[in-house]
Amino acid sequence: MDRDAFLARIRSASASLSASSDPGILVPEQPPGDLVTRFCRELEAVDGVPHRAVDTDDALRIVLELMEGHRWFMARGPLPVPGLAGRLIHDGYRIMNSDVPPDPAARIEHQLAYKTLEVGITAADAALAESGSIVVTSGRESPRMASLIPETHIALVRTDQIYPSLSHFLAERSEVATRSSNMVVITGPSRTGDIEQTLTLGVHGPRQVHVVLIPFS
Amino acid sequence: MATVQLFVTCLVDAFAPQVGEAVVDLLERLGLTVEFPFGQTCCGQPAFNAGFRDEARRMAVHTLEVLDATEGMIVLPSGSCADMVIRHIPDLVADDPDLSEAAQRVAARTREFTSFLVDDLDVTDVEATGAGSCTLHHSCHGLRNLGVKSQPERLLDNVQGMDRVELADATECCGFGGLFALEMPDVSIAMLDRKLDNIEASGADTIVGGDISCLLHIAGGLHRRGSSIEVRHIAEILAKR
Amino acid sequence: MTSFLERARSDIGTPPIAALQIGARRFSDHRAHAVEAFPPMDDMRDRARAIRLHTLANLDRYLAQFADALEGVGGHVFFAADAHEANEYVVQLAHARNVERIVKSKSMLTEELHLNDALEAEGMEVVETDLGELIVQLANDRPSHIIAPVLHKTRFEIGTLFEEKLGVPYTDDPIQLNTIARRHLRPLFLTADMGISGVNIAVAQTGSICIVTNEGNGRLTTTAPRIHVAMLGAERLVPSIGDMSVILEVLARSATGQKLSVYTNVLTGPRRPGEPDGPDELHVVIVDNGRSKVLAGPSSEILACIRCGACLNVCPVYRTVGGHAYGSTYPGPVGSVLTPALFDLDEWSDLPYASTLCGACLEVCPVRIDIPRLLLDQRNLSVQTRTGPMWMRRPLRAYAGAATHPGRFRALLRAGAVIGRLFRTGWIRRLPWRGAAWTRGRDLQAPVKSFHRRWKERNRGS
Repeated sequence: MDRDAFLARIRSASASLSASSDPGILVPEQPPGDLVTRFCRELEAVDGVPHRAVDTDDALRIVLELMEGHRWFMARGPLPVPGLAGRLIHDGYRIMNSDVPPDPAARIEHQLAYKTLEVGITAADAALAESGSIVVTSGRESPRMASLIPETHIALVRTDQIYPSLSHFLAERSEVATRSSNMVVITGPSRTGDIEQTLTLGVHGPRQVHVVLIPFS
Repeated sequence: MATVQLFVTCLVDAFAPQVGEAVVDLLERLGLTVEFPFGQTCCGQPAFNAGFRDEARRMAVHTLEVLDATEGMIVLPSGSCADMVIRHIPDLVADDPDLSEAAQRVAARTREFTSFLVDDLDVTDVEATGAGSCTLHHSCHGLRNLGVKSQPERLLDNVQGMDRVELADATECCGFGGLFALEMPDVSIAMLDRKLDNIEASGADTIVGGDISCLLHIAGGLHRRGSSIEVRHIAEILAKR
Repeated sequence: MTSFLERARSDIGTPPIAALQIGARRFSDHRAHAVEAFPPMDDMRDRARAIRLHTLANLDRYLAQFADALEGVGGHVFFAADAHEANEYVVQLAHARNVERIVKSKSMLTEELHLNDALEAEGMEVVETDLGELIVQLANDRPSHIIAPVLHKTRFEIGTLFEEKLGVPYTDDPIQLNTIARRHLRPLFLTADMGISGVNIAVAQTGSICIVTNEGNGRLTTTAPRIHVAMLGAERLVPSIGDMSVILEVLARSATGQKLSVYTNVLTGPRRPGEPDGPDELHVVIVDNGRSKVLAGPSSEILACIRCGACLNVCPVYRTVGGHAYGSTYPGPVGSVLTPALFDLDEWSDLPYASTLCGACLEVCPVRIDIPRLLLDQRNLSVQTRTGPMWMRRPLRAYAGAATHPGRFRALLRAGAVIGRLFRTGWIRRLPWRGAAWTRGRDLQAPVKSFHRRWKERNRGS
């Protein structure tokens, strides 16, 4: 249907409704308390694993430990731990190219290689204390797949990036939602309860979500 | 002494007049003068819920004429009929300014029975005595539309000699729903069966409710099962000394 | 077509309904806990409602704004008047882009449109990727719940189904079944040409669409294939990103009791220059298919629905009959309002009567849609158009005639008492005509000497 005709039909249909003004947003009040502690508790409640690093060196150590036994990883840069990706490659881990080629057949062939991908390492744009969520956006060096396709997702986030809740975050930083083609709020590992509500982790997305918290210095 | 008007409701009138008498006895015991507007019939709820608004409106207008001519609070031993008078009749007659005003006046004076005792009279102990154990079914319209939940619980808890036991899913509908019981009998009966199973599982000797429509449904189901569990309107329990 | 009652009759008491009942209860328990743990819930519900009603009242403006914004970031917008136009657009697009394999994430709208049938008729392979929807597709079944499509299936059935259709050894362990589905779907995701999704919320100001899933299939569907087609019901908009956050605060809590679903995915246009992955093309098909009719009618409030499914989970009728009895894409209380309003009241006139008006749906609705009131309005409409239970008219007219003349009413009570005396036990075991529906499973107390008479005697005596 022609756009104008479609909209005209909607316009005349809604004519009898009272036109209230836009009520605007409401940011729910949050209980007081330390955001880091609350975030860690809530992440655990959704079966994610928080790691509190004391500094970036410690964060590096934590990531290296989590990488043990794995081989292929994809990284979303720039990471808040300088030299992390380089160190991993130096240690013999293989990094997966994340640039999808434009040709349809080549794209499919490229993506099929993702089946060997084991770990995705991403820098989160924010973390949300209330729900134990992390916010990840796509971008030039930020493939969407890094937080989606591997069985293990390791997210790095600075403690000053923790917001009380999604509403707080979007009230303060709504531009993050649209500055790239994709923003995703991830709350724990992929899950389903479709079969008799038996909770199962890792349906299509990662089975394990590790969040490494790095103090802001 | 304050005067209250009893709107007994058509189902109590025809099937359970002892409930009306219990209400009168109890209110008089509490020092009130009870009047019974003799022209009262039916509030129109059966027709309204079935979608027959013309018929519902005629009954509603009659009810308004009878009740608006009286004074004092209007007490109904039924949450769903009280809900009809308080919420739906004003809507039904909204197109007529005079009737609309009358509907507002009447709605403002109308109370479900236990809510009247607890919220208006501030009475939670009516010095009733009973025996054995009872369990309480919350009827939907009183519960959700009028907020009647703690009132009957508190009143029952103060009955000497009678224990109140919990009923599983006490707030779930019994499947009556007026016309629903006739239009969707298989569904209605399956819902009733769940309710009866819960009532039997509670171990109570008596099932108590605040709405005779649900109680007729539950009683009919229990009788069909051959159950010995007694079915009582809360007014009957509270009136007993 | 069969009636609601006929469909319900064949389902009541069966193992699938027992499974569904347990599931629905669990969902509603989870919701109750989540709401209790979130004191601002009531305020958020009020705000969510206000946002949705405001959007509906200005829908044409917000749709235009949405389309402009989306085109501004490189997306394509198509306005579809009905199912045929919507399906045709997707089919033509798929042909034009040499699409062979399509992956889909869950969308009730595509069920409403029968989009899969339209694509399969053109020889395309369509794969549902939500675990529940995959099971529905393999079993050639229909969803029984708007967010949990196989609430009615046991793990044993699913085990047998996977054994038959996927050629794997039988297992009824949900975790293993889940692994089988993951392995089955993973290569399909990575090799699909087109991904089709629904939309939970569309944001007018930014042209963004928000897709909420727990499994991650929504993200894969909208990331791996080179073309993403999002099917958007014309009513599912909010003005701004902030408004979206209000809806998200109440959506997952009401649906599953989660604070947020695992993936709250916000997409603003296709992959941008320099971005390493994501679809090259994004098409949003905005679908009317009866929505403008609903908007203009007495049930317009139902379009505020955000499809959380909470009203299904608490509905005692839904719990008794399951989702299939409703006969339409949208079951439960919301479906009983939406289906006749969206399609045809004549054909669906029994759905508004498939409720006891108990009000449990209104109690939990995150946008406080007064479903009982809308059902009452539709019942009235069906009486006006003579598609409702017209057999009631004669007895109700007679009753109204008596009830508006107190003398006649008292005569009726007296007659009742006289008849009642015929039943020595005080109980009626069989009623004639329509009353037989009552006595099929319940006895009826016989009428007795009325309160009117007793009051008169009592006052004469004193």
